[in-house]
Amino acid sequence: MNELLQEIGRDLRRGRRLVEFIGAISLELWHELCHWKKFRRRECWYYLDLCGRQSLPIVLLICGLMGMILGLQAAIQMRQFGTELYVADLVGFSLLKELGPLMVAMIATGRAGSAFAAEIGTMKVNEEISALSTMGMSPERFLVVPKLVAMLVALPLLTVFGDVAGLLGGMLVGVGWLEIPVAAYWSRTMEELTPMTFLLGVAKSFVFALLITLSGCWRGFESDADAQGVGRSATGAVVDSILLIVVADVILTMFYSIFGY
Amino acid sequence: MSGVNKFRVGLFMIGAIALLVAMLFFLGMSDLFVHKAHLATLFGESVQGLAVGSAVKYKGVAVGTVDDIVIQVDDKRIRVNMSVELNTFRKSQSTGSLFRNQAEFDRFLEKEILEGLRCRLEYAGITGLRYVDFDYYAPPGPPEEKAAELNDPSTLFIPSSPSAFKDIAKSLNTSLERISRIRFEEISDNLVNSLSDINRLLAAPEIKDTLLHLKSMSINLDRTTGSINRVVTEERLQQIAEQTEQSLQAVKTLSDRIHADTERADLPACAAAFRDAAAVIREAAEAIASRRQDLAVTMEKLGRTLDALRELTDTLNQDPSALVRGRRQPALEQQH
Repeated sequence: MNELLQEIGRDLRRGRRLVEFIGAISLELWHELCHWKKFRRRECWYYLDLCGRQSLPIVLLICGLMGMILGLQAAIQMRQFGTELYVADLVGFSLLKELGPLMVAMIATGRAGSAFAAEIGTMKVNEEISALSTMGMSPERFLVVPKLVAMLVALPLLTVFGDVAGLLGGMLVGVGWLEIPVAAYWSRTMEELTPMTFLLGVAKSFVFALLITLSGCWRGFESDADAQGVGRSATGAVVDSILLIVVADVILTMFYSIFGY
Repeated sequence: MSGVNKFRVGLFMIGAIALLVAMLFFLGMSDLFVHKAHLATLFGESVQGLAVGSAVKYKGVAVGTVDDIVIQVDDKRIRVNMSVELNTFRKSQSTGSLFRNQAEFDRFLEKEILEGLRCRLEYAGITGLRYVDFDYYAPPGPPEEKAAELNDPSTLFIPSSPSAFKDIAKSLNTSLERISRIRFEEISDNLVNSLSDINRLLAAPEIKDTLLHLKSMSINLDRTTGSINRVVTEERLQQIAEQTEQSLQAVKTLSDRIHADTERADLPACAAAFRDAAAVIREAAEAIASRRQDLAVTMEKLGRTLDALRELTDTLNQDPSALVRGRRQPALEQQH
C-alpha cells in the first residue's frame, strides 16, 4: 500500500513536471516568436537536415511500398467485381487521409524522436543541462524550440513527399499489374481527391510533429543520469510517440468527420 | 552542427513546397481558373443518393458537379444547384471553349431546352449513388415547367424529367391498380361452376362413346401408319429422291439448253423480223380487204358468164344446129 502510494505520488510529480514542461515550451516558443531575430537558426537547420532531408529516402521508399501494398490488396478484392479502376480511389484516399501522415510520423518517431531523447538524455548525463540552468539559460529554449520548429517544418514537407510516393506506388500497381491506362488512373485519382483531403492529411502531420518532439524531449529530460537510462528514455520516447500519434490520429479523424471530411 | 549542408536542406524544402503546390493544383485548385456556369433544377421525386459534389453529366460526359441541394417547402420540391465547366463544350473544329461566359452558355442551353434537353437522376452504379444527367428526354417544344417556378431570375433553370426508376414504379403501380380491379371472387365462382359443368359433361354417355370411337380411330390410324411405313420403305424413298433429283437435273439441263438456245436465237432480231412480217401481213390483209369488192364483182360476173355458158351448152346440146342457124324463137313469139 505504501509502495502504491509512493508510485502514485511519483506519477503525480511527473505529471506536474510534464505540465510545467509544456508551459515552459509554450512560453519559450512565444518568446522566440517575439524575438525571432535571436532565434537559433543554425540548430534549426541542423535538425531540419536530420529530421527532414536525411529522412527523405526512407520516407519515399516506405510510402511508395505502402502505396503498392494497398494497390495490390485492393486489386485482389476489386478484380472480383470488375472494379479495378477504384483502386485509384482506395489508394488515394487511404494514403492522403491516413496512411501517408501516419507512416511518415512513424518514420520520424524512429529517426527523430529517439534521437532527441538520446541527445538530451546524454546531455543530462554530462550535466550540460544543469550547466545551462546554472548559467541562467533556459534549456527548453536552447534544446527544444529549435527541434520543435524544425519538426513542424520538416514533417509536413515529408508528408507531401510520402503522399506523392504512395500515389506513384499505387499507380505502379494499377498500370503495371491491372493494366489500367496511366491517363485513366491519373484522371480517376485527380477526380476523386480534393485539395481538402490532401491538406487535412498534411495538417495531421503538424500535430504529429508536435507530439514526437515533445515526447522525445520530455523523455530526454526525464532520463536517468546513466547510460542505461539514456537507452530507456530513447525507447520510451518511441513508444510514447507511437501511442500518442495513434490516439491523436483517432481524435483528428473523428474531428474531421464531424465537419464532413 | 557546422557540417549541415544548407544547399541540400534548401533543395529539400524547395522540392517539398513545389510538390505541395503541384498537388494542390492538380487536386482541384486548378478549378479556380476554370470558367463555370451555374444553373438549377427542381425535382418532384426523391433525390436519395444525390449529394453535394455528385457529378453532373451531359449525355454521359462529366461536365460539372452539384453545388447545393435545398428543399422548397412551398411546393415540396427539391432544388438542386449545379455548376458546369464551360471548357468541356467545344465546336467540332475548335480546340478552345465554345462559351466565354454564363450568358453565352445560357443562350445555348435555352435553345437546347426547346430541343428537348432535360435533366434526370440516374444511378451511378450498384452503390445507390446518383448523378444528374442532361439528355434529350423530352420531345422538342417548350417545356411544361417554367423558369418562373424557380423564383430566381438570375439562375438559369433547366426542367427535370422523371427518372427511369420512377417511370418503372409508376408502371408498376398502374399494373397493380389494374390487378386490384380484377374481381377474383366472381372469377372463382364462375370457375367452380364451369368445373362442375365440365364434370357433368365428362360423365355423359355420349362422351364415353366418343372416347371409345376415338380409341378405335387411333387403332386404325396406327394400322394405317404401319401400312404406309411398310409400303413407303426407306429404299423406296431413296429411289424417289434419286428420281426427283434426276428429274430436277434434267429440268435444269433443259432449262440451260433453252437458255442457250434463247441466247443463240437472237430474240431482238427475231422479234424485229416478226414485227416486220406482221406489218407485211397487215398490209396484205388491208390490200386483200380493198380488193375484196372487186373480187366479188368479178366473181359475180364470172358466175353470170358461167350461167350463160351453161345455157349455151344446154342450148347446143338440145339443138346443135343453133350453132349455125342461131337460136329458135319460142312458140309464143311465133304466134305473135
